Formats: sequence, C-alpha cells, structure tokens
Amino acid sequence: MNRRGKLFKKYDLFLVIVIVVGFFVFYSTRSREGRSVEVFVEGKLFMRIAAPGTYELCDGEKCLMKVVFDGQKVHVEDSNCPLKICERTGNVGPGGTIICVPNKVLIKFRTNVDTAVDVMTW
Amino acid sequence: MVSSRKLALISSLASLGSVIYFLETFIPFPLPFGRWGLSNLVVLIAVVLYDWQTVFAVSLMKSVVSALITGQLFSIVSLMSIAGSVTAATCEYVTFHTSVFGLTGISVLGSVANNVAQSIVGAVSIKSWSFLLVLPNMLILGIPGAVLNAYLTERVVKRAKNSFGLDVAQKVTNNENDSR
Repeated sequence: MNRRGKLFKKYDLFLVIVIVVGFFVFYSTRSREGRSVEVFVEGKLFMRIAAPGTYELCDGEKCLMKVVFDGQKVHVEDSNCPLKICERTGNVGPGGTIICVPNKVLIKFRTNVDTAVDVMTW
Repeated sequence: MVSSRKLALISSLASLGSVIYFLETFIPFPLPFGRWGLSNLVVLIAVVLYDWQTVFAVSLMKSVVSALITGQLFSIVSLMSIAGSVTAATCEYVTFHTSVFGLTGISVLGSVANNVAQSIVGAVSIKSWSFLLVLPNMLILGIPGAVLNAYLTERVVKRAKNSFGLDVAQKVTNNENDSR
C-alpha cells in the first residue's frame, strides 16, 4: 500500500459537491403544484385518482393495498407485501412517489410540469 | 487452489458484513426503504487489502448471507441488494486502482454505484423508470455512511499493518503462491 490508501484527495470533495449540487438542482426544478394521483401496476396506468377518498387496489380476486387520498397528500394502507415499506413511506405530497417492489406498484403524485417524465413507462 | 488463510479471511469479512447489515436495520433512516450502508465497510477493507477475487467473494457472500438472515432470499428486494453490492465492489475496486480518488471518494462512488444499480433493478422489476425519482434522496443520504466507512477503513488498515508488521495483501499473495 502506497499513496493509494490516503483518506482524502482533492477530487473527493469535488465528487461530494457534484452530488449535493445535483440534489438541489433536481429539487429546484420540480413543481410543488399537484393535481392528481396516478397508480401504476407493472408499469401500466391502473387508475387515476383526483377526488379524495379510499381506493382499493385489486387485481382480480387478490387485493394488493388501499390507497388513501385526502386531497393534499396520499398514503397506503393494508398492503399485503412483507416489509410494508409502502405503508411506512407515509404521507406523500405533490411530486412524491410511493413504491412497492413486491407488488410492482408505483404511486405517483402527478405535478403539472414534469409531464415528459410521466409518460416514460413501458 | 485457494489457501485456507484466504478462505478464513473471506468468510470472516463476509460474516462481519452480514452482522453489520442486520444490526444497521435498527438504526433509524430518514427513508423507509434504504439503510446507511455501513456493511459496505467490509468490502472497502477487502478492496484496500486484497485482490479482486476476494473483493468479489466478500461482496457476493455478504449480500447472500444478509438476504438469508432477513428472510428475503430469492425476492426482488434481495436481488436489488446483491446487484448493488457487487456493482459497488466493482466500482470501488476499479477506482482504488486508478488512484484518482482517496478512500472517501472511493467509498462515496461505491455508494453511488450501489444506489444506481439498485434503482435500475427496481425500475426494471416494477417496469417503470419513475423508480429513479427516489435516486437523488438515496444518493445524498448515502454520503454520511460512505464517509464513515472510509474513515473506519483507514483506521482498520493502519492497525492491520501495524500488527502484522507488513502489508497484509502481500502476505496473502505469498501464501497463495506457496500453496500452488
């Protein structure tokens, strides 16, 4: 081991700065105005929620979870997945996403600006 | 032919990594998915001290054993973890040998590679690239853990060199040559 084992080199700081700046650029370009909530199952648009209420997400006989929208925020209840990550994500506002990997569900609080990204499903 | 010394080293690093992986689930993390990534410490130590076979074996075994402990083996979640771990190990190994970054940079790059690989596997599994929207949060939250890993690795490597009196990597390679 020679000069390689050093804890800090000048490019390290550069790398961290790039990540932090990228983070703030990403969030400063995102709109905070939300209209509707879109639920995707396996990449396909399953339902679009505009009115407040509780919506059950059922695929045939099997129910995956309940999506609760109160007009401002959206959260998930009674998911059948093992880790309950989507439930623990809690309330999500405009621009936010809730993801359930085992059920292949993605809940997206649609904003007005980033429509170009929204249609990128396959 | 793998020397028994190397075998022992790989297993102890991998088991240490799995234990850290399990224990770190008790440390609160701002996001419900994700973790601080402290178990990547053992991979970073392997990167600094040993050859690429060891690094690959440690990272793969660490994530498989961790998946066994958390009971998530053969699920998408553990596939994401394995993919992330192996990608991070590859990235760390390559950046370490290019000598551009210090340990901190290597560790941060490893965490970035881990998160990107995990998100891509996740995006493919739920069939929506919107999965990548959580990536910025993951990247920035990965930095503290990565910096801590780099610091701890530096300490461990220093101690290891002091107590063995010579470069541990050198010793392992010599042993392996002897056994051939």
